[in-house]
Amino acid sequence: MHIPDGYLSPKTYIPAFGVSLFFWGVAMRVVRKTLSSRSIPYLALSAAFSFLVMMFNVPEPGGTTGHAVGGAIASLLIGPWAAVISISIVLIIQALFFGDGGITAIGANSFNMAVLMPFVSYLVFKGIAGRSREKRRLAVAAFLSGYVGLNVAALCTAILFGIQPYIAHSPQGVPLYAPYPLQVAVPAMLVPHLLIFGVVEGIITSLVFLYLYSRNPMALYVMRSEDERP
Amino acid sequence: MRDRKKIVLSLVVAALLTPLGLLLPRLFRAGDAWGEWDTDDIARTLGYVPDGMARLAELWRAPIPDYSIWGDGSWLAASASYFVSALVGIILSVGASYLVLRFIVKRDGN
Repeated sequence: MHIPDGYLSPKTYIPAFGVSLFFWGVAMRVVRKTLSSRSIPYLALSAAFSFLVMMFNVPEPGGTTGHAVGGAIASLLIGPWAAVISISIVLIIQALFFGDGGITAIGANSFNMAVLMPFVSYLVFKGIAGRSREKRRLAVAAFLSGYVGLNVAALCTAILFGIQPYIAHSPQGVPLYAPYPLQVAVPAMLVPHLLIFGVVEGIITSLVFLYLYSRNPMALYVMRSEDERP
Repeated sequence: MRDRKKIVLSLVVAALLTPLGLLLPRLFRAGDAWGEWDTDDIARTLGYVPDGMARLAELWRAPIPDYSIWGDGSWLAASASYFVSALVGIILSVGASYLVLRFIVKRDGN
């Protein structure tokens, strides 16, 4: 899901930088207001976890590979705004040091995996878990939070790929950047994410959530009510 | 964070396991992630490289491209590269997080 350099036209990646800059700015303000320095280790660990999770490429036998992002569990553990910062840091490191994701695409990749995903995941969890403390319901909520979050991120990535042939082509109609239109890009991205990679993200989210919940529920941002947050 | 040793240990163990993320796709004959092909692959499948893509694709040379340090093609070299990349990634992620958050978050004397 890491869009490389050369796949997005400037018409796409420049506005994407604008959108991500806006969210980074808001995230910094929110995190400054709501988090104390005691939560820094959690954010740092969640960044390391996310980096590691993204290294575990999962094969679609005979097809493409994909991976979980760790964006859902990050959002449940440290909150969606902190997750924006944490996952963005990872994506920037991946682009600069490992060439995983383009540097022109840092804005777009951050929007998909570090903004969209944490918020969708958080809302899905809240919507399903409500105020429940029943373990099975929490486990299902965590699974779907990861599953839906990753798939929405994959869909948005596919749309960014898929609009390129329409908005950036030569006068003869030859694509200048990502060459595959929406009707190719969306199913190609979404099917393996719906069938395999989303399930992996869901399982990871659910297992890590249950582990953290059994140790100390109040360490999870999503389990603290508004007034209990620092 | 009380159990710092345990955390560091689990991160190293996780890093040791990351080569699975390299070997499993090979085992199941899975290709690149969709939309992450290099220009050689694009030229092979499309018959041409889109102009804009050709211009931007080589914009940035990463120090450890594709998590590969020792690239003789053997699975052992690839796995070792991947493991070292994981360690580098952990250190950079944790280091950058502290750097950025020290700057954002106010200290509470703790």
